[in-house]
Amino acid sequence: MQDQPTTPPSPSRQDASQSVDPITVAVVQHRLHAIVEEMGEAMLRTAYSQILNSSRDFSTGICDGGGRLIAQAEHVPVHVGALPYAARSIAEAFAGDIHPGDVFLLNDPYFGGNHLPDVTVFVPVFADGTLAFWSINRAHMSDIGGSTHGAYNPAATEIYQEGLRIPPLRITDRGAPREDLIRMIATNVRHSRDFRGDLAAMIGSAKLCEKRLLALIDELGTARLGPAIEAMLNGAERRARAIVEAWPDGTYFGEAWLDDDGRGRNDVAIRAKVTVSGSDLEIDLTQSDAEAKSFVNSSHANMQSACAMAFAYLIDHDIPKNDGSFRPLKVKARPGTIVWANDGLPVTMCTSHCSNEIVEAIVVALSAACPDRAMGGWGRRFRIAIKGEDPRTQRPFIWHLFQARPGGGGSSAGDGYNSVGEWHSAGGIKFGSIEVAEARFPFLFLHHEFRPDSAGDGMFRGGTGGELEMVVETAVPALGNTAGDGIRHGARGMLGGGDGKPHHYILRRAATGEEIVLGTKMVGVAIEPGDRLLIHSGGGGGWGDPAQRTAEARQRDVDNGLVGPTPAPSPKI
Amino acid sequence: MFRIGIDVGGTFTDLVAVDETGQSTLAKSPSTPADPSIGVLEGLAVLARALGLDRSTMLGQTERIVHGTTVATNALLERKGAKVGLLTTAGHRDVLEMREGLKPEDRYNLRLAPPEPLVPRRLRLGVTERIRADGTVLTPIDHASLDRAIDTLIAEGVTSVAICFLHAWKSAAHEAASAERVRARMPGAYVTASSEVYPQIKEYERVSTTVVNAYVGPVVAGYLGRLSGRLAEAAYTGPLFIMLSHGGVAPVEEAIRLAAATVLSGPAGGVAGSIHAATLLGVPNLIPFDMGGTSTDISLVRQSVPGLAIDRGIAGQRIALPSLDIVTLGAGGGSIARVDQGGVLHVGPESAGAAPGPACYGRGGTEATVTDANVVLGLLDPSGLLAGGMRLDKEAADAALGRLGRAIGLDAIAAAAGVQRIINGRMAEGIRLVSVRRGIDPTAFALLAFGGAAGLHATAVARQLSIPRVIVPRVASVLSAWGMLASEIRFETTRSHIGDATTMTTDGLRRIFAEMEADARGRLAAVFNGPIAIGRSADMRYGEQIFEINVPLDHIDWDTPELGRAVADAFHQRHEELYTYAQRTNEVVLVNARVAAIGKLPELPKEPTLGARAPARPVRQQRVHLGEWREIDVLPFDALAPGQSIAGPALIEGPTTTVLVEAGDTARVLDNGWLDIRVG
Repeated sequence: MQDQPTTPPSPSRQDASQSVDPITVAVVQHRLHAIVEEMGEAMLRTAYSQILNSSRDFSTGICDGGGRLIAQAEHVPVHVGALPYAARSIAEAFAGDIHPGDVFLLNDPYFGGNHLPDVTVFVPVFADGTLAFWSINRAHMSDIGGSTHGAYNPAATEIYQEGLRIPPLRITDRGAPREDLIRMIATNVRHSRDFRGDLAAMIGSAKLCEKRLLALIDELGTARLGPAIEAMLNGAERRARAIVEAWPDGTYFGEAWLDDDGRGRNDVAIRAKVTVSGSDLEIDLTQSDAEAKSFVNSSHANMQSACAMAFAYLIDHDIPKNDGSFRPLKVKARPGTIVWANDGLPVTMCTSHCSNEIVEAIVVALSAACPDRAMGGWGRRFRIAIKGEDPRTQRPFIWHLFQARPGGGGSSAGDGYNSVGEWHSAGGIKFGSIEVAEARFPFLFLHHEFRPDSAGDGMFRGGTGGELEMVVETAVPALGNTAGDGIRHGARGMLGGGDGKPHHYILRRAATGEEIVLGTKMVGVAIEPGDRLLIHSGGGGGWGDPAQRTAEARQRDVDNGLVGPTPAPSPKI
Repeated sequence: MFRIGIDVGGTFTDLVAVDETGQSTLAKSPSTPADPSIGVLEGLAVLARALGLDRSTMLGQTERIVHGTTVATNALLERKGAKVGLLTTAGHRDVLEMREGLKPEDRYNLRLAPPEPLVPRRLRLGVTERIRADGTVLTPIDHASLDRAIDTLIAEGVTSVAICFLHAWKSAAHEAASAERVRARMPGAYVTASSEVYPQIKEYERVSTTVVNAYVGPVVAGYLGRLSGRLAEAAYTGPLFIMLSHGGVAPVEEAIRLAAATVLSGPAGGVAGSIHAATLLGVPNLIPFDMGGTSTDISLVRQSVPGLAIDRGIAGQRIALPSLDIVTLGAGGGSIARVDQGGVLHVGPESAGAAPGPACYGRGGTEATVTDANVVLGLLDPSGLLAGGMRLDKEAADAALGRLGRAIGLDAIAAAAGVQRIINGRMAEGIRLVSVRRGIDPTAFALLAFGGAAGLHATAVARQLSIPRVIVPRVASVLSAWGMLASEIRFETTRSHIGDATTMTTDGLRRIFAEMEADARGRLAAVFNGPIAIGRSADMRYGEQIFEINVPLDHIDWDTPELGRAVADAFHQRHEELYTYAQRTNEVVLVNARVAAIGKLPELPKEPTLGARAPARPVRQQRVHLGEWREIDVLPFDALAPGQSIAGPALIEGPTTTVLVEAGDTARVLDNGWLDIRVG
């Protein structure tokens, strides 16, 4: 296999030095941001599934006609870097046959999707008869068919077992919905009513964006809008380059590990060789371990997205995330590795794993180049999806665990956030109300608090993980699938900081009191009525030498019951 | 008899007294932030002098005082509230700090210390008890665990106690028992139970609202206690009403009990003034646009009714009580313009504030602000005096804009014009937030421009949005104080009732609303003996959605035998307005029923009209850059005659604001001296 540069060449840029009014540039940048935010808000308020309306697992963005990312709302970072690949897939598949009023759909990770449950809606926006923009909404559907509920199938050895593959597809033709196609898809997912409600919400928000973009085009005209967008992208590029420029030239190495691939292989390594050269940054993932016969593989677009995400975390947060800010970044990877699986392999876990490990390997590598920018590791994802029947309504349900979040990483700015989530969502996913969950699902949440002594120590410690004890109050057995990683490897400590504690999940049988330690890749775990889940999620990684942590900070943690009075074990250096 | 409205701002306290004939008398005096009640009493003395009376004589002839205060807001912003202890269901003491797992700030900023919660973890204590989602008791309250928690709070010197148990929205029994115990054992403490302030499902919203109430409650109670005391000493015997965030007023006792409802008391006055203006002018659809030095408040009044929001946050704290839907932008006349490393120009959120202030104030500020841009463009007269007798330094403004322009290859003039365009664009975006994004077309509204900086920007902002009309009050600074006098007494009641609206029986729906109405009427009648009106609405969603939309229900036919369908239809219609689609075959869930009891106060008499006089003549010509340099007329706001018409371009100068009438616009002077500008 040969190394292959995989960053697509940017479509030719117009020379932005041509007369662009800098004021129009600023106006356009603010407006585009307002539009994608409004789109996200509409989606949040109208979607049906818990995973969308409560947990916000979706992203909104705008690409230009050439598939370059122009603007994106701050939702789920791992989605965003992948959107341009998807937009280009649609544009290629329907070249010359895209019309106002069309709506397109796609989820296939081999056509620019992240993984199958992430379904993406595209609405083309025309200016002067030419395709000018794509309004895009990518959302994680509650179910996408396949052999397990909720899409995560640790047993899958090929993508067909993970769910329905939707290549670029036209679902509305010049304003006329193709009801037969939509019915075909809805028929192949569990809970088709929810699916339809969510799809309506996605299309609604994308149409809203179209409406706003048309108003903007009308207001400024393409002659002004086009150059303003080029200048906006160039401005973001300049800012990103100025930051990379300040890092010492050189080649840096970082490594991170998956616990296992679920097929008996432990410590699957993601290796990042990162080269800083002037204002250019090359991330080379070619030495990562071989692909797996399981869902921990990454799709190509998702791998690109993970690299973009790591880069976005290391530069200034207020640089607009668009095609320009990612121009300094070049990614090299090889098909057939864990970060870029060959077509046909399963990939559903990849938005968390191995995304999180890709990010961590890159941050570890660059911690030598920009220590104050590198942050302690954020938690890993360990999810449970439960399928059962609510005895109060006799209705079936699918529920995803979002509570008991792992901790965020410490950083040069201070301690990490407690129980806030993983690298790939960075606090952008909500777990929702427990009162609402108890009203809607046959669960009793007895305990849900921060998990003491779980954070990685450091000058600034990581955030604590969470702990949750819940009773499954079904009348007939329910089924659980787990999906995730991080019960052996905790979130990485950075620059002398300690690692966060790994996850530890237990199923306690009501009948016998037996405690079963849950693995991260289990299918069809029988959950009997009255069984309890005891969930302890991992803490975030610490930042900096623990000896530098102030006595006041340590005392405050003890007073708040977040750290036991005994000093934490000294960290590895 | 007088009615007196008092609006305490950060710098000045504005007062207005209105007599039976509608004649209003204004006064302004410095605020005293350490204890604003001192400034209020001083202001009352100034007001009395303006009426030719002494203070006690005036207060003896005063039937009502209405007051807007920023005490709660400031306590939150400056983190100067009470030391609060929080009692929660055991095992759930971190709800407040978890924020449902959401990191509130910038998604991509992973180098950010978490915000300190209002109650540190060591003061968040679990009590052994548990109520289920259906209201039944799973674990009875363990009094020993309650007493242990109270012991800790006493030992820690806590002065305010918040109580929030799971599912207290369904059954308040455990909270009530705990509150009673706390009150008995901590007699001086301020006690807030969640079921008393926000009896609704969703524990994060409820605990956050309860904690905010506990945090600001003692501060508000202390302040209002002092104010009531000073007013009594000054021989005032009438009632004191407090402006609340939802735009109504409430007696002092209610404002103390529900202190979290006073966090928008200040800006609510501006909206109240706007509502009153809408009535007076016969223009029921207004967008109040209050542009000040550091921030701008924008809201929306539709058919003389202000928009309400239930998802407000202030200073990072979630307050779920109904409040006026006011969007606050961190941008105003003092906002600083800067160029980022990518060469993109930004205006705000940093502000030059009062010190050093814009460069043109000559107090050492060097950065270019919006005000400096206006000076460079000739819109503010450098030879004129600002409030406080200050002269503007045009050279300093030119230099600041020159530096800004060089960073992006523009001269000072072009840079200044750019700053104007950007700030106007941001203002337009703020107006879209309260209109377009709420499913409302702003072109059917008039912009009501007040606040010192609004006059120079309002017509340009209106033009961007195709808003045809801008109205500028003559004495904008006391609009708030004046509006408070026109506000109604308002009690809100809410009940969570999760059920399918379409299958709810007509009788069931009528019964819920009737019970709530009786409750709200009863509470209002205890403090008010005038006529009472009732407002009904419901928060609804489609079955599987999680965010509700508040749908007003006053306009539906409550006598129809198919009330459930009528309620559901109102929801479908609103959903379509907001989100471009409705799903009429799906179930509609009613989550919260809301009833407001509104005490109608006697109408504020209409302001007397200005007498006929000769039309004002331009006092001078000024060289102004409006795309190009030209000489335009400057007219004195105070000397304008009713009916006078002014064709743009022109500047109209008042003591606290300057209004730009652009080319193609026509300003007409109304009977009360206000400007009514047709945007051309």
